[in-house]
Amino acid sequence: MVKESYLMVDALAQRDNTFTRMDARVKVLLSVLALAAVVGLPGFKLPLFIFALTSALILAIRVPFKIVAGRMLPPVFLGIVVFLFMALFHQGSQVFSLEMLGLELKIYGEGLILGTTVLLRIISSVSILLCLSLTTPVHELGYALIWFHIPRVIVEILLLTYRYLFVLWDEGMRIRQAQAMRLGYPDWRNPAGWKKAVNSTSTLMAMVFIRAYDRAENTFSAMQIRGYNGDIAGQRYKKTA
Amino acid sequence: MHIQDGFLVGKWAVAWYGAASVFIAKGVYDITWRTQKVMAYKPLLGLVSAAVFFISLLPIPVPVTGTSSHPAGTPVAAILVGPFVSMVLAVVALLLQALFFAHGGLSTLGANVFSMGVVGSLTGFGVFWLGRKAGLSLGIAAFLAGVLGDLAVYLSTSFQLALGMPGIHDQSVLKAFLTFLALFMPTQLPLALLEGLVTGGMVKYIAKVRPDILIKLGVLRETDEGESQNAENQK
Repeated sequence: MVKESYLMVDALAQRDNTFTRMDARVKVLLSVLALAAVVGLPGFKLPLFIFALTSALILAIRVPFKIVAGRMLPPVFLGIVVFLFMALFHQGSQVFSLEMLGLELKIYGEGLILGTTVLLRIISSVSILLCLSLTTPVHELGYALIWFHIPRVIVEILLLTYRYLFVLWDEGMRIRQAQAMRLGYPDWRNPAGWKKAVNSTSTLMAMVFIRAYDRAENTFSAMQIRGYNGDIAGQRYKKTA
Repeated sequence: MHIQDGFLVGKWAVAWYGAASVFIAKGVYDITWRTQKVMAYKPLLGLVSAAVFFISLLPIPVPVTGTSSHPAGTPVAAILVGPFVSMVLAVVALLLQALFFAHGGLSTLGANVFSMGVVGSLTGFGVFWLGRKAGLSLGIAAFLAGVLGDLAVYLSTSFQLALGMPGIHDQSVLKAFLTFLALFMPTQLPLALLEGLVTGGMVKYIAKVRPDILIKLGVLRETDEGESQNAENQK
């Protein structure tokens, strides 16, 4: 399920539209500036405005609702919890109170404002990153990051990680399925079953690591045949003098 | 859990970037240095990073409730590839999670790298190293590294939230820290123990079936128990 969502985002980023054709450097720069503004500046208006912009973009490139909901809901849920926490427990002037089941709920003005700010910040920053990932394939992002002088080492490992994450994912899930078929994951509400499940999990982790290690050697050979000399090839963007 | 965008005020977000970058620079320098000697090092790290990323997404079984949660992964990465290199792997994993998973965020990347990458790696590796020095077995040392590494991550996350949450300034840092800790601990204490269990189990299993990997990575010495275990297996 996690893998599908990743692959869907990747597939959407590979499509051809105005935003995917845009220079990745511009997109990265705009996203970073928008994020800085959302997090750094006070007030509601800017986060709301940016959220509206990004929503329009997401609508314009016709992203399936499931993806948007899947990506937005967990952080928004977290934001709502924080919002309630702040509205209920922050000291300040009381706006109104509610009698419920013999409990008195007091809502505080300052907390309400603060909670709303945090909630809006979370929503708009998640939507900014969603827009970036929906319009920029990972390799384009890699080129842009190199252009922005992010150390090549980090970018290279990032690209390799993204590439092999899915390969190892499939391999790991195959092992997990095989373990499950041999009753490796019994009902873990009882101690014996739980012990077995923990055992199976650590075996699976070790196996995935071992396979990754062995695959690294093959990957290196394959890269070497194609002329790898310790650095990923080249620059996409011409050096501006 | 990672700190989401919007949870830290701008000032602190930038400050944590600065704090983390010092350690990351050391990690990047180490990798570049190693690459000049062993050209296959970066592809290896790419694969290891993908494996640790996958491991950190795996559900680990939580007893009694029947639910599952997922481990942090940095302690085990620190044991396997060393603390500074594992910080760079944490940057990669957190960046990918922020961009493609809406987990964590870009403005809080510095803070998350510092708590999960820097503190998690240093604690995990430090505990493992001390444990081995003290003569503990591989599994036990890795178990302790997992438990304490995981706990250290959440201690520093609570501390970061206490310092930098918007609107927190009218409370004392200590009080806020304890509040966040009280929120985290009921769920995190058992999770830390589980992370320890799977970390220990994982390292022990690798030592059992492929001790050569651990020797190559410098976790085990030629003469260590892994070899003898392997010999037993082959009998």
